[in-house]
Amino acid sequence: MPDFLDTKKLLPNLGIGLGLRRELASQTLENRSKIDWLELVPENYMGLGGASRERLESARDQFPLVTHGINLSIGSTDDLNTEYLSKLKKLLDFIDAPWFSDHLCFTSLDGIYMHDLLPLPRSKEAINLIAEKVKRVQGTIGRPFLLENISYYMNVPGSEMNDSQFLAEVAEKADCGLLLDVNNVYVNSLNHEFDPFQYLDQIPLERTVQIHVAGHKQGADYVIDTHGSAVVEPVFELLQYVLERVDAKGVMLERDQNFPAFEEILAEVDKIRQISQAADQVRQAGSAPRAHSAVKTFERDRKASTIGRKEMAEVKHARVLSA
Amino acid sequence: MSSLREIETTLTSIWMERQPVESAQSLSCLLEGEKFDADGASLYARLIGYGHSDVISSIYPYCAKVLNRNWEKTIKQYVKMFPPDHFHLNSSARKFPQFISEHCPELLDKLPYLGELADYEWLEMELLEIDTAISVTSKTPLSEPQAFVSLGPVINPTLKVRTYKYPIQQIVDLIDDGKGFRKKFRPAQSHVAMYRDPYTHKVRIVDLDENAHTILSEADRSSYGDMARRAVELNPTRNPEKSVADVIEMIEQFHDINLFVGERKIGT
Repeated sequence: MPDFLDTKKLLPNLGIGLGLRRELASQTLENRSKIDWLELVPENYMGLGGASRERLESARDQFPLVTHGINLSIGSTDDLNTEYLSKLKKLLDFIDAPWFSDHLCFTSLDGIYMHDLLPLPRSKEAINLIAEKVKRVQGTIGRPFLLENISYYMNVPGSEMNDSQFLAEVAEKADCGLLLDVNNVYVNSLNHEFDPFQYLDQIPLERTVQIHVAGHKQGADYVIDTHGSAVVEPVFELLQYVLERVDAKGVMLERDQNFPAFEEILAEVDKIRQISQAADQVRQAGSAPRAHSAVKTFERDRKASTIGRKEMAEVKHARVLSA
Repeated sequence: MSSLREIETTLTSIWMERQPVESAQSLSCLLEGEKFDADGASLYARLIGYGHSDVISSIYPYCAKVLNRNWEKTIKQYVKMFPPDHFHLNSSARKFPQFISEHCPELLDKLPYLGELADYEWLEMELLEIDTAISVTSKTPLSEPQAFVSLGPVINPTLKVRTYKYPIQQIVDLIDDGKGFRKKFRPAQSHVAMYRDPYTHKVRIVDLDENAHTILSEADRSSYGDMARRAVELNPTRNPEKSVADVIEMIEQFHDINLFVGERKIGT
C-alpha cells in the first residue's frame, strides 16, 4: 500500500453523515437529501440476515457507507480474530466502503469479549503491537483503515506517555488514518484535566479522514461519552478548530440512545454542515485558523446524574403469535 | 516492568469481577508510591456488567419476569461461568439455556420449565438474526383436485420445531397476561414451531397440537394429498371428511402466515 497520506488524497469527500441505527433507520433512509452518507457498526450486520440484512441493502442502495467497528480489539495481545476479519471484509466488499475504522483500545482477551472499549497502557510495547496488527488488518482487508481515539475513565498502569503522544505514535508507526472523535477529546479533557486544543495540536491532524461529533453526560464522578444527548457548544468549537486545519473526508453525528425528534438530529447535522462549510472557506482562503488561545477554555460541570451506556446491541423485535 | 499481556490480564480479571480491585496493586509496572486507579477500574467493571445485563435481559424477558429478584444474580453467575466468547454481542447470551438446564438445580427445583423457557427465548433470537434468504412463490388453490396429488408445500427454510416437556407457549401467554405464571406447572408435552416471516422479518410462533406436529414434520416429503391421508390415519375414529377439511384449512393457514412459502411438484 502507498503511504497513508497519499492514499488519503484519493479518498472521496463524503460530506456530513449520520450513524445508521435501527431505531432511526426508517427516518434516516427517508432523508437522503439532508444526510450525505452513513456509518454503520459492522458487528450488527456481519453474517446476519432478516431485518439487519434488509436495512443494510436499503442503506447501500441510497447512501455511501463506511463501517465503524467495535470488536477488532486491535490492542489486545490476543491474535487477530480471522473469522471476524473475513466477515468484515465480506461486508466491506458488499458496501464498497471507501474506508473502515475501529477504536484504539482492546475489547477482548483470551477469547473473552467484554463488549466495551477498554483503555490500553500507553507504552512502546503497545504501540509496536498495534502498528503490526494494523498493517496486517489493512493488508487483509485492502482498504484504508482509521483508528479512533476513545474516551477513557481510568489511568492504566504501565503508561509511558500521554494520550496525544500515544495516538500520534500509533498512527505514524502503523501508517494509518485517524477517526478523530472531538467529543471524546472534550470528555477526556474534562475527566483528565488537560487542554483539548493542545491535545489536537499534538496529534498528526493531517491523518484525520473522518470526524465524530456526539453528546455526553455528566456522571457522579466522570463525564461519560453516552452518545445520548445533544452536542454541546465546546464540542462544536473543537470541530471547527480541526476543520479549519485539516481536510477531513467526512464528518458525522453519532446518536445512539435517548433519541429526540428526528428534526433535532437533522438540525445538528445541519449545524455540522454549516461549521464545515465555514471552515472550508477559511482553509481555501488560506486565512490563518484561530489559535487556541483565542478560544475559551472549558470548565467541568459537576452535576451528578445517572450514568448511561452506549448501546451496541441489536436486540430482538416484538413477537408475533399466530394460529 | 509488567508486560502488556500481564497488564491486560490483570485489568480483565478485575473488570470481569474475577479478582478484587486490590489485586492490581501487585503490578510491577506501578511506580513507587503510585496507586492503582481503583475508582476507574470499578467504573469499567460496572459498565461491562450493565452491558451484559442489558443484552441478556433484552433476549430473555420471560425468564427475567419469572426469576424476578433472582434475575440479576443469575446473570452474574451465568457470565462468570460462560463469559462472552464472540464478537456478536447477542451471542454472549446463547449459552444461557444450557446454563439454566445444567447448572441451576435450585432454580429448576422451583421452576422445572425454566430451561425450556430459556431455549424458547433464545430460539426466537436466533431466528431473527439467522442469515437465511427466504423466497416466497405463488400457490395453486387446493380446490383443484390435481393439485392434491401433484403438489406439496415448500417449508419456510428458517422453521424450527421444538418439543418441550412443559406447556411453554401457555406459560408465555400467562406471563404476557401478568397472571398465574407463578403457579406450579405439571409436565405436559407441547410442540412449538418458530420461523421468520419473509416480509416483516419478525419471528412467528405457532403452537402445534400432536397431529399438526406429525403432519408438519413430514411435510417436506409429502404431497398435499399425503398430508390429508395422514390426517385421516391419525384420527381413525373421526369423520374422514372433517379431517380432510381440517388439514386443508391448516395448509391454507400455513401458506397465509408464510410457514409454507411456496409449493413443489411431486416427483421432480
